Amino acid sequence: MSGRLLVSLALSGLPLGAMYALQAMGIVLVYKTSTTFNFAQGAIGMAAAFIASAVSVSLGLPVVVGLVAGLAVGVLIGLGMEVSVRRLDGELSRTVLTLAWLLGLQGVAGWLFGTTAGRRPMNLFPSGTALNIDELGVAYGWDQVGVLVVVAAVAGGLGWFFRTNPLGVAMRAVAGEPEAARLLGVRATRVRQVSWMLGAGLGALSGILVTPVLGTLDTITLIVFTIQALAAAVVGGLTSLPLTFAGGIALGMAQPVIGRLLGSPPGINELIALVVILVALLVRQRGGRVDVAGSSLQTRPVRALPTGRARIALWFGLPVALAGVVAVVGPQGAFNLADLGIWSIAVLSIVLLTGVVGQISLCQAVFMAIGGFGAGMAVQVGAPSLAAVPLGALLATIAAVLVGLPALRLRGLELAVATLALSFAADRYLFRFEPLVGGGGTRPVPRPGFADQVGAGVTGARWFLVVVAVAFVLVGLFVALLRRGRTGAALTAMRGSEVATSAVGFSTVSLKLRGFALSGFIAGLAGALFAMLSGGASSDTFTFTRSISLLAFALIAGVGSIPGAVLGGAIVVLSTLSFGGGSELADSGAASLVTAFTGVALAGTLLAAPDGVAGLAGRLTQRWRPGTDDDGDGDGGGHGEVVAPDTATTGTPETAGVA
Amino acid sequence: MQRRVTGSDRILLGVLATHLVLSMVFGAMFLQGLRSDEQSVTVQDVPAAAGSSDSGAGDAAAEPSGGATPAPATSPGATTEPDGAGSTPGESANAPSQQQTGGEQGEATSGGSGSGDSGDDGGEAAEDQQATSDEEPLPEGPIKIGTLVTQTGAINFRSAAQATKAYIDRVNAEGGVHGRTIELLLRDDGLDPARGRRAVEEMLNEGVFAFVGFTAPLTEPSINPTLEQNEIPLVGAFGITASDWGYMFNGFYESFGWTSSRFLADEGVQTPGLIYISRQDDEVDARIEESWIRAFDSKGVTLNPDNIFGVDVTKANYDDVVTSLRLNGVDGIATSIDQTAVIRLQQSLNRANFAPVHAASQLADDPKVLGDPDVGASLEGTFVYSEVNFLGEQTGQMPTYEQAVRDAFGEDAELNWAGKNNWVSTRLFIEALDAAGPDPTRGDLMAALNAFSDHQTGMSAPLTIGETPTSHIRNNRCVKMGVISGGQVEPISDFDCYDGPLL
Repeated sequence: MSGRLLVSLALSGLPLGAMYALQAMGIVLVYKTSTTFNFAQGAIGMAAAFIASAVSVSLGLPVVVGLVAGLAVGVLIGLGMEVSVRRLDGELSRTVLTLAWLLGLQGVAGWLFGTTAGRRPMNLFPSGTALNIDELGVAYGWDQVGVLVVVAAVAGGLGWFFRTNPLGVAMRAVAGEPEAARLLGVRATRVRQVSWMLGAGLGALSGILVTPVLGTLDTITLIVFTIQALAAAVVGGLTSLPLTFAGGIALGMAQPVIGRLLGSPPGINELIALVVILVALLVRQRGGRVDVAGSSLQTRPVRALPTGRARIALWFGLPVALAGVVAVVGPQGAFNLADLGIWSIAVLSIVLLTGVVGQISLCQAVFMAIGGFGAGMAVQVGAPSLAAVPLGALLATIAAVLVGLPALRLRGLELAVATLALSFAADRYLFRFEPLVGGGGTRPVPRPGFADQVGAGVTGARWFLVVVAVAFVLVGLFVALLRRGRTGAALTAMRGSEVATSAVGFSTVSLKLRGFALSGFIAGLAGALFAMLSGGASSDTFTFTRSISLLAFALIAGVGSIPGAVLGGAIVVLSTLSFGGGSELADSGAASLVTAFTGVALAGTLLAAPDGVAGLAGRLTQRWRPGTDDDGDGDGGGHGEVVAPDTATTGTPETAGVA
Repeated sequence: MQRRVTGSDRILLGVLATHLVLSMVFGAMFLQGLRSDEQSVTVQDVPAAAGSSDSGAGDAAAEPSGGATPAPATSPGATTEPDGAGSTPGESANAPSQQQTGGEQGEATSGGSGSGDSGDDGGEAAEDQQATSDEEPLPEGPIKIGTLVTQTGAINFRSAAQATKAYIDRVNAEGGVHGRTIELLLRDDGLDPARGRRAVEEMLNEGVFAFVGFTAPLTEPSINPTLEQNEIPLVGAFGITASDWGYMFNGFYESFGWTSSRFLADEGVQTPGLIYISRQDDEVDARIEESWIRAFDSKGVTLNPDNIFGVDVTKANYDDVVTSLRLNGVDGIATSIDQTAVIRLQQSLNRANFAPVHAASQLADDPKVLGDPDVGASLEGTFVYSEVNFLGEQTGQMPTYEQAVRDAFGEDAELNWAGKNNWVSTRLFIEALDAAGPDPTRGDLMAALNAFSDHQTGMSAPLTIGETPTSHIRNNRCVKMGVISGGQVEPISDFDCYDGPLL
């Protein structure tokens, strides 16, 4: 491969690199002033691009009007996000709230504009060749040259703004010395509003500019595009705009070169971004062993098992109820209930990680897929079906350790960033990696043939339901019991203060890693069972959207209780039902509406009831039954109920970076 | 410290309640499934869906249709192609010229099961399952068929669902097949195989006789075991692997490579390139590449591996590919990519002011591509290879297909390759069902399909199916060339049939 070709490829990536930089600078701008990682940056760009397209392409108005409309929508979204985000303490909670915005924007855009790819984006610039440099073997279109000019102007403008403009200086002050800025009379709220609007505006601009270059406008591409901005922002340490700009440009230029050298495998750009993120996190040392406010999600820890009569009822009631269900349910019902049980186990993996350890993962669906493929591999080498399930879960555990090692040394936010990046990269690369996923992206995983062993009259689906139910009970017991004992105490303490936990001899990194690995194991277990239910492992169910929605459903249902996991599983199953029916064509609007409502419900949960529906139900019950504390732990909650978080269990109040 | 219920809690409760109510609406379907249903079956539980009784109905054959109408529900033994031999380029000198004879079809009808593989010893038989499905006659009443199509999602095949629905509606409007109407169960997997498998499970439990026009590429890879365990024929699919039970009438890479490469070589291309959507399977990808390499070789032209790009379907930007092709001196490209990718590739070609001779796949024959305001004009002169006729051709079934879908869906009508293929699949299913007689079993249906020889489809070269699993999916070996001109594809060659080895 000639040097000239490599140079040409690097230069061909320059416009996209500029786009990464533009979007990433918006992320950094917001983070600097409000310590919130805006995962919805790509979604803001998507929304702005849709509006610009609707105004300019559909209505036929001038592109300037489309540009203004798109930017205005982006800025307004930024303002709305600031208003909602400021109500939350803790950077992790605020960051999860941006996921709610992501889902909401994606759902509304899908509902309004459809989910089919190929809608025509607004093109600010004419088509055709603008610059042809034969010596370097590179040619740029007008849209690409336009992108380069605009991004250069924006970067220069931002430099001027922060150096000389009073508002820019105030933003720097709030970002660097919030307390001093407050004492000097800087209105931090206004500054943060401006930074959100500016950051979202950059996201909107990047969306409007990049869609013609990408040649597509849909509800997914720009959201996945966020991984590139994440990488550039992490390279910039989430604080340095110049480094972020350079990181974006370098990433854009490196990707086509590395891709070509590796044979241009599909998804290589996302894989490169993931590697950059993990390496940058490894290099960063900040925050690993100090208390950082809001590094845990503000949820109520998982409650212990019930006691007394309730426990007796549990031990006897569960098997009787299960036997009754198996006896009366039909095959389709058994299939549906097994599906429910499996997704409930998946939600339990989040209950463990978030409700017990206090961390969040945005790649649980990836671990599910890996569990399924691991089971498929085990079956392929001759393992019995049921033995393949834990083997698949073990493979997911290994993946969790590999991802957790670099991220868990730092704060909860870094784990969220790394796991979201893994979800994006898995979508585009890992799930196309044939040694893992097999030829054609599927691996057969047959359901065990129990009927042969136990006789006729009981179908395999029913017996598989028994397997799933037993797995759910075992995992649920494990999660509930984890709170007891030394490890459970240490995990609870770590949610409040990592320093204090370290001071009494615990390694917080080890604790978090164990929690993350166990969570990966449970998700892998669910994935292996799901593959068995479906007859084969396939990755397409486990997209990044699934990972985000899985976390959302878990939080909405409540990650502080085992019943909450069942409710979360039920919501997942309901969300996967086929819309439409009979002989009529399906309508994509219904699915988009569910996505939008999920975003709204997640935001409502985070803002008003971080312990979710289960916790809210518990509180309402408590209101009618004051003083009830039938589980005997003195906190006023009953079995399967969750009480609201208090400062002893949810971390110290947030102060960093916010006046 | 316990927190009290506040006003915001109540507001939140309202939001959550709305969400849950919305979910419950959709949950009705789920709850239906929870009811004990002794007649229902489960995909991996039993070998077949139940048929309830012998049918004494359906003696009266449907009215034979005229030449321009679809779904000629003819009686067994009649010639099934009303369009007339020689009326399409597909019936040219280059294409196999034999026609379907009544005798052949009659034999197929009486030939019994073409696939005697009916056992499933590992399957857990439901209580009331006695006979295997390929021997069971249809129950009385409408004939249920299942169609799973990816109708929503970033990449979808809504046109395929429209084609099947339009065809079935017209069959029913003309009285059905042997007097029995067809009940179409149309489902969407939304690009989610979990949803797709659930839909398949539900359709099996509803007792579908067969799946028809199955166009859900993410759900399909796991469908073959389901078909075999439940002994359900699938007539028309996107890209299934060989099976006794699955039928597909699309072209395949060997024939696409053969025709497009040789055409490019004849156009004077000396340094060709190839861009295709990777199937994420090294073996299949190698087969794709080998199909074009061999065909170019046959014309003395070398396809250099450096100029072959297997890309992901989601690839957003082709600048890197175009840069490489340009610097490598490529003067002609064959592409096998989807519609939006054609547009993105053309944008990159335009940016680089690079215009190699281009042979695009049949997917480019789509008004959304040809009418694209940005690249439509620059696509003029691009060649297109296809195993079915091009939109706008006034021959065979094409005008009927276009009119039927437009009549049924108006402004929402989508006409493209996926729709054309599902029209063919649905048509062949109806013809086989008709040939199978008034009281057919699934075995009869498959025997009728297997017996199709030089069978006119009205859109492709005549098809010969046969008994083997390979012949069920690789029966359409003939590909024609067209050129984009005036915003549509004009045919420039007759069907060229590949008769070399299958890779």
